[in-house]
Amino acid sequence: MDIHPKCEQERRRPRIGLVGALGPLERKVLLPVLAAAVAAIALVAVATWMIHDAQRERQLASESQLLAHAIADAEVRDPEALQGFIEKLGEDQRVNLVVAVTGDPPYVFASTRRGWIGRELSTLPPHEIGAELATTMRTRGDAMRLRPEDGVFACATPLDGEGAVVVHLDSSTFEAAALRSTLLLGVVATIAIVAFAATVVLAVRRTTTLRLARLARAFAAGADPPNPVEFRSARGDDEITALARAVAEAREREARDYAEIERLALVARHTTNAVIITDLARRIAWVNEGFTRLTGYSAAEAVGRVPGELLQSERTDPATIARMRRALDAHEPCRVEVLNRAKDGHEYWLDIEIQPLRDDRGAVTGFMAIEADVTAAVEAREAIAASERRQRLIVEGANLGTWEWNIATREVRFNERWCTMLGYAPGEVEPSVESWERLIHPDDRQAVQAALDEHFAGRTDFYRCEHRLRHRDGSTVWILDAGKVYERDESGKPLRMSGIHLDVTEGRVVEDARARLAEIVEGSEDAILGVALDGTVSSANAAVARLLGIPREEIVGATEARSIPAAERAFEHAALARIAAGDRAAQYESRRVRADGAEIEVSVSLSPVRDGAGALVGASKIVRDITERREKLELEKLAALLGRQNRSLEEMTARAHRFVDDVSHEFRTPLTVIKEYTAIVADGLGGPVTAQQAEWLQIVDVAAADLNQMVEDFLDSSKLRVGRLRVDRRPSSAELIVAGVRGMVARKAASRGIRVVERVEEGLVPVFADEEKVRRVVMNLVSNAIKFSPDGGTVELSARALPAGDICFSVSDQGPGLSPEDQSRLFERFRQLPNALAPSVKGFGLGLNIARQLVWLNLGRIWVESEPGRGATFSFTVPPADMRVVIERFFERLAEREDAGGAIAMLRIDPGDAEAGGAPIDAEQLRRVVVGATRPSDIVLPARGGRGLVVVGPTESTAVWTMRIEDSFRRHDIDGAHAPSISVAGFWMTPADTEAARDAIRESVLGAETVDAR
Amino acid sequence: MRDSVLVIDDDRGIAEALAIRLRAAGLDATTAASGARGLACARERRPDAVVLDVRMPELDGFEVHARMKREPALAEVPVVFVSANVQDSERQRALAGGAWAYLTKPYDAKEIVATVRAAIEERRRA
Repeated sequence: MDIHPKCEQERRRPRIGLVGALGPLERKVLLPVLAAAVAAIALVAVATWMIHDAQRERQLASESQLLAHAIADAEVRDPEALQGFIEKLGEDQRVNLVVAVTGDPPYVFASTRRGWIGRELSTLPPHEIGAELATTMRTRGDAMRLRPEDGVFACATPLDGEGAVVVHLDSSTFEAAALRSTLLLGVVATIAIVAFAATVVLAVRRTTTLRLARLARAFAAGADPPNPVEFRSARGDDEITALARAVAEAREREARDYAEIERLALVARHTTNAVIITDLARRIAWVNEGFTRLTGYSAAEAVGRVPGELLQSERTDPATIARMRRALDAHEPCRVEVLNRAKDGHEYWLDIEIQPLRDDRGAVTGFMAIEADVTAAVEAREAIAASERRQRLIVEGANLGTWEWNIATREVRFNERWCTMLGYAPGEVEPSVESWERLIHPDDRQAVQAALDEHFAGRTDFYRCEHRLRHRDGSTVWILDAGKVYERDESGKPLRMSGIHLDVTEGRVVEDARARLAEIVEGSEDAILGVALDGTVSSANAAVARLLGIPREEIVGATEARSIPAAERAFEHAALARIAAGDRAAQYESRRVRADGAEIEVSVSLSPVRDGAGALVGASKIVRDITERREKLELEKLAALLGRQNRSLEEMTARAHRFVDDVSHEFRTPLTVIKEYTAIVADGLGGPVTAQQAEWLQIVDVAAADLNQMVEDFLDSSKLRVGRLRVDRRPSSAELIVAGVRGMVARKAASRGIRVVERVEEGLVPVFADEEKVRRVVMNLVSNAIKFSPDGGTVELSARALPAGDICFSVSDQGPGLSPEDQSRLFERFRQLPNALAPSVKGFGLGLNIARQLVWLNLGRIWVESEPGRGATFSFTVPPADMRVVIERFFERLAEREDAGGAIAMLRIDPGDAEAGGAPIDAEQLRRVVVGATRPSDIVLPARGGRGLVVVGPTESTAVWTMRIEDSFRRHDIDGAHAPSISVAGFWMTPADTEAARDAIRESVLGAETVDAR
Repeated sequence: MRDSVLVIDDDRGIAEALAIRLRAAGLDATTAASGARGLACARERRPDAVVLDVRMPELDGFEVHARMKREPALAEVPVVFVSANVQDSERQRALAGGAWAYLTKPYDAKEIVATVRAAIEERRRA
């Protein structure tokens, strides 16, 4: 389009070109005025007008130019969109006319304040567009006249070569208004200047007047301003000169400003900054490419919106927004930094400079904002500020000393705190590295040097060393010294270094104390836990892990539920809850489950733990294993008992030894006499000995030797039997026992022609006894009966049940019988067996003693019924295989002991766990092994349920006992995983605890119901 | 003059049997039936050797031996213990106390005679 070159021209000379097409109009207006007014008035009017015009023109030119570019930049191609855009633009008070020429054929969109006109201008030469528009407007009844003086047309670059945008901005929009104001100005000026005119007319020379008129015309025609120097030389009047100078200056300024505007237009278009132009209501009228780049909103999206709504976020500082609003409300320029949000949501910082846009009357018509993205700068600045703030805080707050070290010059700048930390005034410390080196504790010098060397060599990122410095008062100050080389030469040699200096003396002391305390806690034998108020374990010392057998890392962070037996949890929880509620401390006994499943008794001390501010943050729990304490108490008890028993055992042993000595002495002495005199006689010391006598004496000697041998054997076996007799009690029957002696009894009886009658009751309950020992007793009694029976007499052997349940064996003879004295002596002697071995009770000897002992071991009694001359009946009992009776008999026997005081202990022995693998020990094997390891005075009973055994014994240390039974298991190759478990089921002192012992043993053997039924 | 031997034993039978054997061996044997009597007899007769029983009522063999050792006239007289006790501890105690020999009952008569003779001769040589 050929409008194009014109437009180029227009930009240089805004008052010609397109506007020139309106020339006649101008003249039409100007000429009557010039003709009507006197030359002076005209001159003044023209001058006044020009000043005004220059200002207005400048502003309008820049604005219209910007707008034209804005429209062009908007790149509105679509006629409808363009129409909408221009229409919108036309609504602006300031915009008088917007014309866009686009399309092929060219189509003009024009918008005026009054409405929208559009017409195809294909045939119209561009320079006629203005006239045509004027005509069009007139035809529409718009009294609108466009003159260069009334406004400024600006032409934008072509729309891709297909069109152009023309904008006309006008402050004095209507001709009428312009006329009114001009006339008004003229009238006022006329009245004002009439008086002045005379002077002016007189003063101004004609030439000057003419020149000025020419000048004015030239201005009006847009000619270059005259040379001010030339102008000055021609001046004739000071005011005029001043006026002219003002005009010239205005022109100069105008030219300058115009260049500025041109530049700005370019900048606005191409700048990376965003440029927004809004109307007075702050709706966006135009934005540049930079805006789109910055915000992500296209011009189409942005136009019509208010920037604040579109761009600001909730994070935008309200104070900034308020400041901006205030400035805009006051129509003042402002510059703010504001945080905005782009279309894609990212936030950025803008430096916004907002200028109000004014029309030629100075009324604000809108705003232009130039926005620069300063996000990076703001962030960097904030980061720096934050870092500086932090650093300052650190330096101030931590009471830091700082230093700057020029390593080459050895110069060090110490700050004030550095000096005061060591007791020096700031000026007192010479700024050299020696000042520092001198104060280092000799013991630390090496470490400091090493740390520095490491850092200088680049092996450490930071130099950091804690060392001691000598305070001015001679005391030692612990210093944490840290720094970094920040400048090195090309070879890496350190040049400058800076760092901080912190007094950590107090920390050292506290830390030492803390460390010591921590060591104490950690090393404590008591388990110490830190527990949060919700029951979570926050810390635990080594003893906790030891106590519970759980690794510490599994304890800390979890609750104690794993280690507290279910039954105790509620209580412990409540205890903690009371602490949480403000209780001071709690102490209680509880239990813990170890990882291996074992339960232990513990005492617990629970105390609240408060932080430095006194707030309750948790509780400490000190858990002490008192199982050991209990066991220790029991062990002590046992040890005391054992000691007593040992003493008594020693006494007994000594007594046994004395007894054996006595016996051997008493036996040997008569034997020696027999042997000696036999030998003396045989040796002929008493006179001649015949061969027959010698032979007989030989027989005596042999018999004496035999007897001596028998005595030795007896004593030896007696010694061996002390505590070593094995008693294997088990259920058996009277019939079986009697049958076992039948053959021997028959042989003995036959040798004397004695008849033996057996009378065993039918249906006898089983007995609980050591069969073999019962048989020996029966045999012994039967032998005696046979010995004392008259030839051909009868001996009766019977077995019957007694009302108490025991089975009674009796042996009756028809011998001479015993007197009551003999009977009582007999039993007296029995009770004092150890001292009664002397063969004073004629005819009974050791047989009855042994019988009595065996009966006793079978928990029975033995007695004799006899009348002199009417024979004797020896009877003894064995308990039935009813455990209740057996236990009764055991306690009766205990009560009869001479040393009745002492203790009864009960062990429970259970066969090994068959599920652990391998064959379980069979019940009979278990019984045999246990019986083999017990003492004759112990009884071995089947435990309740039948699987295990209960061993009850008097005056036995459970530890020794357990050990002996364990040994026995080992000897029988019952070991390892399947070894029976042995537990101490009870320990009682008699006679005080006899009842408790009896109940407990009954419970273990018979079960609780049976005990209750008692 | 025949060597004299004092036999001290609370069992008269044994004391006399020993004396018979010693006399048969040509020694002059005297008996005492208790420790006290034996000690008195020893002081009176100054025997060349003493055969001493250990276990006796009141004053036992060890006590008799100890008292003899305290009396210069009797301290050097050799003592042969003859005891019914076979315990080693008793034998050691006797020998440690200065006894010449410790023999046990029932004894071998010939051994006793030989031991007593040896003791007397040894004492005489010393």
